[in-house]
Amino acid sequence: MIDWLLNPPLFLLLALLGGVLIALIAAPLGVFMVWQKQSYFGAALAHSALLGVSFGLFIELNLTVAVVLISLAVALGIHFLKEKTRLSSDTLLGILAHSTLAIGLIMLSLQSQVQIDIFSYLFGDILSIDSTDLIFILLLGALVSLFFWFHWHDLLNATLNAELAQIEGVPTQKVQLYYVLLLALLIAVAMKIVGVLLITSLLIIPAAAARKFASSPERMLVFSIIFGLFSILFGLLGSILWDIPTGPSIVTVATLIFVVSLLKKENV
Amino acid sequence: MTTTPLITAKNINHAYGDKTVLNDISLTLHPNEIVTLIGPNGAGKSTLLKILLNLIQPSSGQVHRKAGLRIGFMPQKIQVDASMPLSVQRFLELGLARRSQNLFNKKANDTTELYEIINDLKLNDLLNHPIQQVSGGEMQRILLARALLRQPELLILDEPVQGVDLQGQTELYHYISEIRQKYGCGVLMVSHDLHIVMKSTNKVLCLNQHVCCSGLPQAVSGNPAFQEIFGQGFEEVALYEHHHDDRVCSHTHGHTDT
Repeated sequence: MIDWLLNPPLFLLLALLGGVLIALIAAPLGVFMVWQKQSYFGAALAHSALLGVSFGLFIELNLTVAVVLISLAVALGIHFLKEKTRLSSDTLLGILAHSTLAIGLIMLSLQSQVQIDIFSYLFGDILSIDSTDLIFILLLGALVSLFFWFHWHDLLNATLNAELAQIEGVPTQKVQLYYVLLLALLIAVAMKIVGVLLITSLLIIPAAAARKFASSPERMLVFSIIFGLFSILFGLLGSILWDIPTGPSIVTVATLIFVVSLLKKENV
Repeated sequence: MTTTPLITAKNINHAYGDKTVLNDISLTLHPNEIVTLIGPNGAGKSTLLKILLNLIQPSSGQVHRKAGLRIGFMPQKIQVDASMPLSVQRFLELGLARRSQNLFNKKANDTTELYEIINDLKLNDLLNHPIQQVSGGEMQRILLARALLRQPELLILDEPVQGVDLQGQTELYHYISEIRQKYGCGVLMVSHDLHIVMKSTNKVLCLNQHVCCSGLPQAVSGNPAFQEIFGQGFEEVALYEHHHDDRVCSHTHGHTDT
């Protein structure tokens, strides 16, 4: 086993690289998810990802592409339904999360001849990352970097007070929509790593743990990145050493970090 | 006044669905002039404000803004979630962020003007405090400071004295009046307090879907009866007496009680 770790096979290197990149990408999206209290939104998108999987199998499309398409559609759907109906976003998310999940499960059951490992979509299988996945992750990383490079302050201001931000010249609607779409993309590509059921935790747990160590939004981002990387590395290691599923392993490490962070005295 | 008006609104009507909230409103805001907009709840004050701020378009009517008009806006209140670590200083700096564009060159901003405003509003001791831990009165000064960062020609304040005692009102009015003198900006203030307005107000508009009445406030702080009730030291406030035509305005604002 030690020998294996010292001289790792390609799939392990791909897994490690993919995981590290996802942790980096998830951090800025995750801190805003915490600040905007959007964790249920992430959960709803993740549920709908399963519809993407069954849809992809149904029309024999690359599953990542299928999930990306469905997630984007659902994200856009929530964004526009919020403006068109009088229902709270909480209710809309509940409707979309579970209706897409239900339809996804029906579509899966109709394709009984297809043998897919549904478990790997639910809980992730980081060791199955291939070079196509890595290209998706790199593309997403480029998009997320570009977005936050230009709009980090805009999104902060929009989060503080949308009306004030708008008067100060921030295109709040546009910035918020971009954020939501990037979130949908992340969920689609990160599904392989921790699975749809656990994806939200990868976004919010490192950010939540970072809160106590940070005195500014940027420091919270930095700590969130550190904790995310730590969770991926040790989660992966634990998964290999004890032969446990990678997704739950990663999330458990993140949770341990969070629990330890609770012991720290309040900074601000 | 001979100066170009900052904002001219003509015959503004606005309805949400089939519910009319604003009916034929016309108003003009000039530089160096303080206008106080008062009215009961549901009178359409916020809607009118949003129209003037260009956040929504009126159902009909025209709003003309001076070309390139810089507006400083002070929201009613701002609730920053406890999960965001944010100092007062950082909050104020974020008001400058739009000029510097990206994540890492925030230091490139010229901050002299920021510190002048911080001094004027006596915020020095608060700068390192988390924004979630300041008092209501401090928060108002912070929001006012942020509005001033934009070097506004027009300062718009949405119910700045809501939930603040008369002492706090006097203080805030004092700052606003100093700011007006220093920067010469026009001020539009919205208040749901129907009787007590800022003394240096040049015009009071009473809104209840239409403009019920308008006029000048009366200086009352020298009035013995006022002093008896509120004590001294409230030079900045004044009373506004409504002159409504009862056939047009059914509401009374309870002035019969006073």
